[in-house]
Amino acid sequence: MIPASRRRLGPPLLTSAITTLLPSLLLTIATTTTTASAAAAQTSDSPAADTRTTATASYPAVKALLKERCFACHGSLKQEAQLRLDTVAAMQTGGSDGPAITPGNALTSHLFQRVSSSDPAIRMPPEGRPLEPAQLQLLEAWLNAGSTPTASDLPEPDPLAHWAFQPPSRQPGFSSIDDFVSAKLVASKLTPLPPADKQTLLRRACIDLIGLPPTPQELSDFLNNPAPDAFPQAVNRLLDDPRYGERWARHWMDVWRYADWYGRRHVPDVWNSAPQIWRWRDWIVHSLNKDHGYDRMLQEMLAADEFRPGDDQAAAATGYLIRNWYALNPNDWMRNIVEHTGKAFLGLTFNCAHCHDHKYDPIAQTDYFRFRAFFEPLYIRQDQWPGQADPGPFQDYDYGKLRTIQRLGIVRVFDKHPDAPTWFYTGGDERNRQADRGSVTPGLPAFLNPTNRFTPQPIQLPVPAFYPAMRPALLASKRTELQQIEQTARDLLANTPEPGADPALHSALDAATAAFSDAAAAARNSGTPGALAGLQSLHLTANSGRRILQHRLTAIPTITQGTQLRFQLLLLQNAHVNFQLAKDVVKGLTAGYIAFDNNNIITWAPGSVTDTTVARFDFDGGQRHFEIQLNFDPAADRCLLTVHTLPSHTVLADQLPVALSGWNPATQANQAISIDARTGSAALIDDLHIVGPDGQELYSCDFESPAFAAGSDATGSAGWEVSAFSTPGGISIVSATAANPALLTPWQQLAAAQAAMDLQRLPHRTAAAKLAAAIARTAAWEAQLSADTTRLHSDTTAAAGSNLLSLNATAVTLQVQADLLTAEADLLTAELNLASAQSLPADNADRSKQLETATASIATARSAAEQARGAFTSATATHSLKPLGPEYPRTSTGRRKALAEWITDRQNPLTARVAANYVWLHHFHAPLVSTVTDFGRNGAPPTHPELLDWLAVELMESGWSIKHLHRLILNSSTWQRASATTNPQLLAAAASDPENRLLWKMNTGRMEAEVVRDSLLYVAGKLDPTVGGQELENSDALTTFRRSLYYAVYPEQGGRSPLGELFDAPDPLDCYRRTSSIVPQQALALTNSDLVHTVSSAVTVQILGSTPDLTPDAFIRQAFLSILSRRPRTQELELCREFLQQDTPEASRLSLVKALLSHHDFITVH
Amino acid sequence: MTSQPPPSTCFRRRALLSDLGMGFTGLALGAMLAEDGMASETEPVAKSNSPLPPAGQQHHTAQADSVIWIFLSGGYSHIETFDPKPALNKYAGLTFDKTPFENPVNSPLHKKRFRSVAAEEINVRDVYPIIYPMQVGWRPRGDSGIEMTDWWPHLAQQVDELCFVRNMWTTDNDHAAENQIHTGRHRLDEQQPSIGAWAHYGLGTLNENLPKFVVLGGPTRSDTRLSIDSLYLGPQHAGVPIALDPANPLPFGKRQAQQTFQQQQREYELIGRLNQLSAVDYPTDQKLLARIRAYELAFRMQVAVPSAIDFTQETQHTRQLYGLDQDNTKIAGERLLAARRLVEQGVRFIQVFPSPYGVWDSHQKLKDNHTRLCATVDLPVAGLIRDLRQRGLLNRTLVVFCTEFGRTPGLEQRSGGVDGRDHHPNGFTIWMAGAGTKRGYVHGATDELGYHALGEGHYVTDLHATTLHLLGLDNRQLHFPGRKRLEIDDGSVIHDVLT
Repeated sequence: MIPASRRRLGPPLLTSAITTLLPSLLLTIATTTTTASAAAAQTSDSPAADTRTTATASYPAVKALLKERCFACHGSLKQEAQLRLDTVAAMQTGGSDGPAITPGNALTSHLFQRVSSSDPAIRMPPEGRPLEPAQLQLLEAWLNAGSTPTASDLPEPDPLAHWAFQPPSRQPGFSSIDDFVSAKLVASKLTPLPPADKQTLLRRACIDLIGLPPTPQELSDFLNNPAPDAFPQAVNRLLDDPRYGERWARHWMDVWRYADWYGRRHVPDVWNSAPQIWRWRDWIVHSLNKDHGYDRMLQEMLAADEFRPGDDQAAAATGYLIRNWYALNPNDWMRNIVEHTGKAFLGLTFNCAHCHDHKYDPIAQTDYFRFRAFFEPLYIRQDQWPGQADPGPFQDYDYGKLRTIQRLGIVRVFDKHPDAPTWFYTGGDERNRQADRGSVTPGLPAFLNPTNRFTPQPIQLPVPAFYPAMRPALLASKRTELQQIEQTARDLLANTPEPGADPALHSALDAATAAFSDAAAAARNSGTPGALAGLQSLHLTANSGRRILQHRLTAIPTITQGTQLRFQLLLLQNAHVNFQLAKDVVKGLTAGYIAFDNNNIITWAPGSVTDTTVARFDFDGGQRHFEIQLNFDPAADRCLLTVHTLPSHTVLADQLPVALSGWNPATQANQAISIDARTGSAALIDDLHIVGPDGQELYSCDFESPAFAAGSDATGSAGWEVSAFSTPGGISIVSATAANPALLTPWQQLAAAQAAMDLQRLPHRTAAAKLAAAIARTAAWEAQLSADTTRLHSDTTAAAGSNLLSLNATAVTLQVQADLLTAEADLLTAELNLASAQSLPADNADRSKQLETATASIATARSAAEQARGAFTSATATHSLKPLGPEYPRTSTGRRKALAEWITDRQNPLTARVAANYVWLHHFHAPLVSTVTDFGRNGAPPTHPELLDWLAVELMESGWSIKHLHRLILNSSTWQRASATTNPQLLAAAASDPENRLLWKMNTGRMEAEVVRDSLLYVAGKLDPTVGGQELENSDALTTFRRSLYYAVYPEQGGRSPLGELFDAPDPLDCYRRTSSIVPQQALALTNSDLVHTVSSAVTVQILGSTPDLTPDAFIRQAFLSILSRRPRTQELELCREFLQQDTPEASRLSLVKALLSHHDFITVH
Repeated sequence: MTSQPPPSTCFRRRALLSDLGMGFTGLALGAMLAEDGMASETEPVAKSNSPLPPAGQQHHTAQADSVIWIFLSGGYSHIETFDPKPALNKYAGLTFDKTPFENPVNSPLHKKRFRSVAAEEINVRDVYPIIYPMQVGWRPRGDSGIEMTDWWPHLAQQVDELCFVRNMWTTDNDHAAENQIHTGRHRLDEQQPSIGAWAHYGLGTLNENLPKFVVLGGPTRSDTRLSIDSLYLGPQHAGVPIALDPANPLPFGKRQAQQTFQQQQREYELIGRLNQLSAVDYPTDQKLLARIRAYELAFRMQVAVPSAIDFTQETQHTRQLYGLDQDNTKIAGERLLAARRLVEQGVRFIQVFPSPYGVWDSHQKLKDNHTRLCATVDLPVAGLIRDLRQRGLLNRTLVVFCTEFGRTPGLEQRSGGVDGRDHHPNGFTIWMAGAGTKRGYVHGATDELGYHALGEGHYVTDLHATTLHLLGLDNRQLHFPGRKRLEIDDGSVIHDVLT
């Protein structure tokens, strides 16, 4: 059914005007006609002569069919079974199976038999669908009619003779773009349009080169510049403008498939590309501005690590390879690299040879894998960036783990597996690996490298390349950082003099100490001590959260029969407190277990992991204080539990069996004892002993001073650690008062006196300790650097070896020393914080929060200090030197370097042509070769082949200078022509080339999405000129005003800005040529968006400036200049003047500005 | 030739064109634009043997004017919905090799239809061999006696309108299969435009004031974009997500608060007139004409879209039919009712996501999930079918109801699972209704265990080919110049389901 509206395009309208507009439509008609005549031939009973004529007439269609389905194997590219089908003569000659055709008889023709067979084993072509019935009819009719060729039945040309496979050269007698274009125009008798007017020219150049329209001032300067070279001057100015790099980076980013990280952005989970990839984008901008050669850019993108191994800036270029990274499947990474390196740099569709030999170009399937082999050793690493923290190692894919967004450092490639095999597989499916063929070695298709000049040579890398911690910039930055820390510590110490003695503080402390001692002694004597045994106990409280304290016991011998563990427990609040023989403190597994839970004593029976109540106690009746004994019976894998109350010695449990589950902390580092207070509980623990069968004390802990400081968290003291299963709210301090609240007041007074003393003394001590730590840290780092440098540069001689040993020993000693001093300084800092918190008035709202924080950090610092002390006391020899950073392979295969050298070689026929075609495309809105990624035999021929060659040679011989090409193009008459004329004679004369293939005029083009947004902001003076940096989110693209280049690009939802969605922002999966649509939603965006509203208001304010009473005409003129870079025409002025009268001045001015921003002339480059 | 702007406040297009003296060129282009509502500047890379974009020219007589494509994200169990398997109850708890049937895991079909996204050396997804019984009862329904499970009480009453395809298969074993059923390609292959984009590309519009390819309820996650994307066809063919908020349904679809309707109308008129004046200097500029046209359309679209989704014009009876009065059916009901209204307005392709992303995924607690989820869509979908039929729309509207894959007949044991099924690309069920499909019909089957789609089965692009066929398009001719489509992209029409 044809929709009614379609019928308007019926035959009466098919005049020449339309057919020239729609040449493609003509094509359909032509095809239809051919098919119709073929059908006629089939059914016709006409005489033989007529039949023959018909056969000749249908041969072009037959040949087109054979070309499409058969030539790939039976033409000039390949001759399967020695058969060619590209001429009738060749068909008659036939191949190893004899002649392919029998003139006049389709049914006996081999060709027809094979293509029409119903047996898939016999039927040709072997791949793809069988020929359609209509195609078979065509062929049959032609064969039956005598299989007559047309007069010139030429064979397919030799593939090697294809134009794009010949090195480009200059055609003699031509020395400019205009020479080539004029020659064609003259030959076609076409008169080119005159040059565009100066204002159009400047706007065209500005948008082409920097992606922004000229300001009214720039426009007026240019119009008033009488110099004959005013325009070349302007071009040079624009090429020197750093915004040139931003503009053209976006073009090349399309071709090189720039994408910020993606995968599962909503999670987020990084699967593709990398979060630091923006450094590659900044490298592109920089390289273009510096006019680094196109050859150098390609070399660095493919192999900066091999061409410039020490150069971080260049290493960012390998983002080109990382962009294709796919965490889940390395084959996919390789597939994308091969496909897009072929397309982007060479205009070759290597990807077609992934599954089968190329159908058009001499690229065998093996060549595909040989090309992949250049990249096979690749992997990615992330190096620390000077002045930033270390990002750590690049995260590998692990099923079930998110790949996090790492913003630090630089990502770059390196050859990780020099011997990684490249396997040949079939059907494009890596599961069909042909391992028996052996691995494929890197290489180029023979037709492009006949002399086989480019063989990979392994590259010995310099130290900073394989050992990135040793990069000079990083070392310098680290050294500066250490010096700054040291200087800060010096300044602090200078400003913190040592306090003199303060007798008042001393005597206050003495008095408070005495008062507390007296109170404690009195309490003990009256049977109500502040602690369970001795002066202090461990006090766990969990008014909210949960506190678990644990202690590993690797220092005790294996638990033997008859070993006993015992301790005292006092419940202050009755909820749930348990003691565990922990099976694995990291995983949170339990071996044995005794819980005091709301008057129940609960354990696990041997062999069980289920709670069983084995006894009860009466908390409210006064049963709060217990002694617990566990007698170990490892032979039966159990222990026997005895609990009795104190002081009455009521036995609650007597030798009850409890699960031991193989608990043996001597040999298992993650086994431990642990004490767990759950929400609502408070308890004291003390007097903990493990005693061997012979009565020997294996372990004991009494929580007494000096190992445990009263009032401090026990964590970090004498081996106690807090469990990862604790939750905030619980605390575990060492207390001298908890069992007797009456002692609290003298204790607090003592603590306050101590804090006052500390507060006076600690600042100086802390400052001194910090300086000592800083000095030691610098010394340790220098020693480490020295030892590491020697290691990296040393050979294997004994002298060097012993020197290295001694350097190592020094470095280790200094490192341990620095760790200890740092820990001690941290501890002092924490104590100072605690003292200052304690000195706050009791009603200070922050006090308890500060106390809590300070107590926690003391615990951490104490734990670190204890470790450092332990390390310091053990022998230096047991510590090996920590390297400065990771080390990577010391050689690179040189494969990618060889590939890049070939790609950028003067003799490579494709690279420069492909590049010149892109440059041309962006200046003329149409390329010379319309298939920009396919310069092969199936691609489109160039409209101006000699011109393309000349540009390619100019590019190469100017040192691959892209700016040189811009100058050649912009200063040509061809580029400077007007894009339209109202002159009917000129229009009529050009009717034969409505698509402007011969360049008799300039093409118009629509601003790209980025240029639309940037220009809107720019004319309003709102565009933020900040250059470079991490990508910005598209959700902010309407409210923040950086250049569009800097907003994220990725192929998921949210990967384009709201304006980009509508104005054809690039598809980051594949955007060699952008589409440029005109849809109603664009109009809505340009009239309704907040952004345009903001911009319009700003433009209005700008125009009015300090003259709010500007006349309507002056306002209109200025608005046209600002937005459209031209003066209004008379009729436009009249129209706008009339418009301004229809509403209030404010509303109508704003509306007028908006209308101009929606004007076709704003969004169009004329 | 005169360049005076037309005096009236409305655009007089024809007068304008003749005023500007554009003759045939302008008219022809105008006619083209009128149909398409837009134009593309990039001329396709024309090659002698490339077919042309049909742009409204159907290849054969269409039976459907519009498609409502309902997609349930996460993968519903074919077994517990539309393909009951008594053998699973009979052999529950046994491994596949203990049944009288051929062990389906050993079939060559397994490798053909099961491809892991992650490289094999990184991750091999488990195959679960212990048979898990059906979690719901089933019985024959309607005059056709087609078996459905008991979770579809309302849809069961419409079963005689439905046409099931029980031997679908796909290859992606993870949720990128959601893209695959829309694009036809496995995640590791080069991505292709979605089915909606092809329909959009291939067909002229029936109402130029509305987008032609509308998306309701999606995409809700960043990585589902591919399911509505148009890629190389150009962004003008991508699905346009519409929010069911008449106040602001379309991006930028609402004029600035400080501007009145009349003010904006004057502004659009000024834009039009200014562009017409430029046309004097650029008499052959097609893009300029396209832009003038785009602004006219934009102004109308701004009014048409909110009205298309304004439910206040619907009766109480209709609202109940779609379950708008019940909390658990309201969301799906609103999206499906909006879909019907858009069909009435001539929108070509409406892609509806009635459930949130991924919710049908039932690795665990399948019974709970499916009981709850079926109840959210059963009534509204049944209501849609009834409503379309009552209004005489069903015979020109194709309804497709699908998901990304089925679920394993075996019990998923990962992470100690005891009550769910894993992803299963090897066989699943979809159904269609209306517009030239058979009524009350079942095409194809899976094996006794519900494991493999029997026979050649139907890869997802067969569903594309069938859908496009009903729209009057031939997938094989619907190519984009310069882009190679493979045989798997074309698929084959499932002729057996057609009347």
